[in-house]
Amino acid sequence: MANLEQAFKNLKANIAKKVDDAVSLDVVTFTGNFNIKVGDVIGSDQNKFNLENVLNSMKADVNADLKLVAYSTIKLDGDQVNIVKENLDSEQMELVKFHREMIEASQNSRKAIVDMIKGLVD
Amino acid sequence: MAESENLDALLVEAEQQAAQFGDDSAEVIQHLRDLGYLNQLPFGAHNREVTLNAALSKFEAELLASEIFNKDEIQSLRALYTNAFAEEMLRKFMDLDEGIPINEMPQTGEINLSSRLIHYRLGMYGLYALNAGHAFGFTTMMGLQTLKHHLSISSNLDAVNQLANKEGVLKRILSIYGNERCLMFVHVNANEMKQLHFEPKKVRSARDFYHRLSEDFELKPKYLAGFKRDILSRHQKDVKWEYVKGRSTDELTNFIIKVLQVHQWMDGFYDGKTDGEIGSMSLNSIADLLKFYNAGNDADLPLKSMLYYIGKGYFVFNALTMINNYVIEDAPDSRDEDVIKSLTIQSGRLTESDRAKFEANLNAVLDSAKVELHQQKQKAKMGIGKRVYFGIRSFLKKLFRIGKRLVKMILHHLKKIFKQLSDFFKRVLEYGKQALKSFIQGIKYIIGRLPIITENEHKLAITHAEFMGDTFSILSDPFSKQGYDKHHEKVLEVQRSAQFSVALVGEVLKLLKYMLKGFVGWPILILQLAKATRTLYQKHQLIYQH
Repeated sequence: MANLEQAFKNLKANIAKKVDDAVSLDVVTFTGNFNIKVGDVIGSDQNKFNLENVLNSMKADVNADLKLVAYSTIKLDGDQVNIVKENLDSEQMELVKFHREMIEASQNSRKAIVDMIKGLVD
Repeated sequence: MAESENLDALLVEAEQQAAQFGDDSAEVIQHLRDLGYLNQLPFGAHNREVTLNAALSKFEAELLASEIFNKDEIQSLRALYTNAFAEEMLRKFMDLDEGIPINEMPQTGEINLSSRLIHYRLGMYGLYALNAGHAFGFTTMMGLQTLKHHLSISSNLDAVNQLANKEGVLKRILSIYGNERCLMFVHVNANEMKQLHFEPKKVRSARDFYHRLSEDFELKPKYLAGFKRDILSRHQKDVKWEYVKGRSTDELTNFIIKVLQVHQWMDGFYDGKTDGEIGSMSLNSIADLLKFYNAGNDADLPLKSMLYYIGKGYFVFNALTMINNYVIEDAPDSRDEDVIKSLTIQSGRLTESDRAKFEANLNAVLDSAKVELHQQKQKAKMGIGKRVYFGIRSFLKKLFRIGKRLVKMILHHLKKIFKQLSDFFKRVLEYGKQALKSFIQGIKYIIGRLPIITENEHKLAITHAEFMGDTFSILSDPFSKQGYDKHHEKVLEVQRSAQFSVALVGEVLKLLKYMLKGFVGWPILILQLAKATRTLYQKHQLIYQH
């Protein structure tokens, strides 16, 4: 039971720390030809998404060709920087649309976290 | 990563608890059977799955066609409940506590979701004996006529919607017929008498019964004096048997008993049919309910003060105390947090030996509840078990009403009320399951374990959303338009679910200050989760409206 209580305490502390660190919101979208095995994505732990494994797997695949479609960073003060691939064809325009939708979803998620923190402080 | 390792302990413990709950198909099967979408399930896992899915599809199709919810509402509910959509919708429809109102009466000959619900509700109150999947027709109208007569309601729609609020039904009966009709005269046949858990002569105390009666009832002294003389008479020759027999067979008494049976069934004290026949099962359940009430309220209300054996198999039951308790449950109550605080403080103050006893007792009750729950589900799947009530509103109210005494009950009254407490914890476990699932999702999201992967035409899209909203996506090139849409919808679904879970974690964290002060067991955490989930259900519309 002590572990459980400690885990709760840590959870609260970690949330606070992560909020302190979060000065910007980053959204990145890549596209490319790649082969990833399911095992690379989740690793040995079925619950664990392993981003490092995914990137390593791509590195190992000589045919992997990863292209940045768009990168957006939104600062707490509202400043926003966007990098978008040039000369997009109609299919790639869909990717940019997807990227924009991800920005909106991310902002909603961020709002949910901030609301939760507010609830804890109030 | 140290912080993830710390959270692992929490996740592992929560998942272990959640794993013990088992699957939810028993509940879905029961609901589908009750609505006439499903009869017997065939043998063989594959055949069972095909039959079950066909019944679920039919339910969903009728739900859409019913227009009880509009398309936007359905979309929001789908996003909220994701894979559990059908289960949650069935549970809402089947609830007789805060059930969903039907918006339109079916036409004669129609079979749709409304006709099935009307048949189910009438059937639960003993007013419809056919399968709920039959067409709306003459038998339905007969049941509706009786219902409207008893509840003094002129509209079919209002009458049938009244049945989805069981406290409302009791309030209406009290307001129309007054306290006097809460004296129930019942006959138990010779066979049933042998099944009683108490001896009839033990409930033959005119003094105790009369004392309670005069305290509870605001009746005219003349009526009370007549009652004492004609019913509670020491000599059977002086009892007015014609009156007793007449009152035990009149239709209204029969209906009120059915209403009480529905309440007792929903509380887990009654396993029999809601047929208005007050046999040994009903009388035994009254005795069980009283024991539980006494332990939970530090009261000492003896059975003989509420039940009197007149003779020749006839009893008179003072139902007013029970009815008043049920009606009180309908009153708004915002003391949940006080209950949790008080419970945690009490458990924190236990001596070492009491703490050990509390833990041992609690584990015994929980183990029993888990085993029973498992067996109950297996039987429900096969269609041979008793019908289980899955609604939560009145249960939660009862839970929090006796909540402050849970520690004491577990510590001191365990032998007397083991079965009732075990039944009670079955409900806690069932409800806690939902709360726990959301909680686990929330924790996984926080430590970054919710990848969203979509496969479309052998191409892959992966999105990883971090706790603070940072999002990383990789999509195969080319990826079809259909693939984007599919992946986008999946991401939104997970993020909405995660927002809900994060809010839930927030609610739990708010209660931490109490938990960390003393000893805390999982049942108390489940109470907290249950409370937090309930709060969030009220808030969820806000999240999903965006």
